[in-house]
Amino acid sequence: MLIYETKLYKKCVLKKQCFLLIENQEKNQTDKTMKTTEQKLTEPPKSLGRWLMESKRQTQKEMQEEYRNNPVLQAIVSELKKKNGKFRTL
Amino acid sequence: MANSEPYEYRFLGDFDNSYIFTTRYDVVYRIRFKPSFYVLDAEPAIADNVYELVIAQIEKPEGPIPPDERILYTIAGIAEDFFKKDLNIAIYVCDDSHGKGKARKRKFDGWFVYLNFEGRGFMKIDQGFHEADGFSYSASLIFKSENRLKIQIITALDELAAKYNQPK
Repeated sequence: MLIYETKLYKKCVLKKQCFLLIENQEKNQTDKTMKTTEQKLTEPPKSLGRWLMESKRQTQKEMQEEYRNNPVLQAIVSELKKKNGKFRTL
Repeated sequence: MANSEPYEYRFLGDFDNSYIFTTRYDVVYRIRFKPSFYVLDAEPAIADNVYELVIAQIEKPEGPIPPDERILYTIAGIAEDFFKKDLNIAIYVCDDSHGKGKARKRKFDGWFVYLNFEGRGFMKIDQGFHEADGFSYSASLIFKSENRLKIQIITALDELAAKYNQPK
């Protein structure tokens, strides 16, 4: 398992470096408030399951925090609420 | 409006691969397909197209919220949009070590059947994992049944299970 994890980790780091390069380029061109959690996934997993579950929980938490701090997202939500929430007033 | 009518949603961009929608009860959901190339130790044509499906309720009003079937149809619509890229693979992971996780998995499986995803041209492969430290979880891979790499995808999941599963 250790050999597999090391291999997986090396592969992950290599790909991550490319991914981060593209990410930085895209970040400069698009919404600068968007963030990602991928940097943290370069840590080697001791248990794939725990790692995946933790990654999932972390992503959920970050999506919530991002929404609280991102006025662009909040504006999108306000617009959607007007469209999707109309039954409330019936 | 019918209960099967999906809510309007927004795609938040290719990089982030996430979608957002609100419900009639003002609950806000965000769905993200998180790049997860590190999960399957397979050829890049497979590994690079693996995305973890993460569903988050990011805002909800106080008090109980009635069941809302339109959420289901909205997530299905979002999934169809995501799978417009034919080689995309979604992975959904559930913690099996407690009742809540098992219930979530049952719900997810139920959606797949209820929405006739198989009839719409999708395949779901389930795999249970029981790791050496006692942690158990299940992973479902969803991909287009016409995916030309489906045999390799199934093999890659089998290999992953063989590597991580504790022998009985």
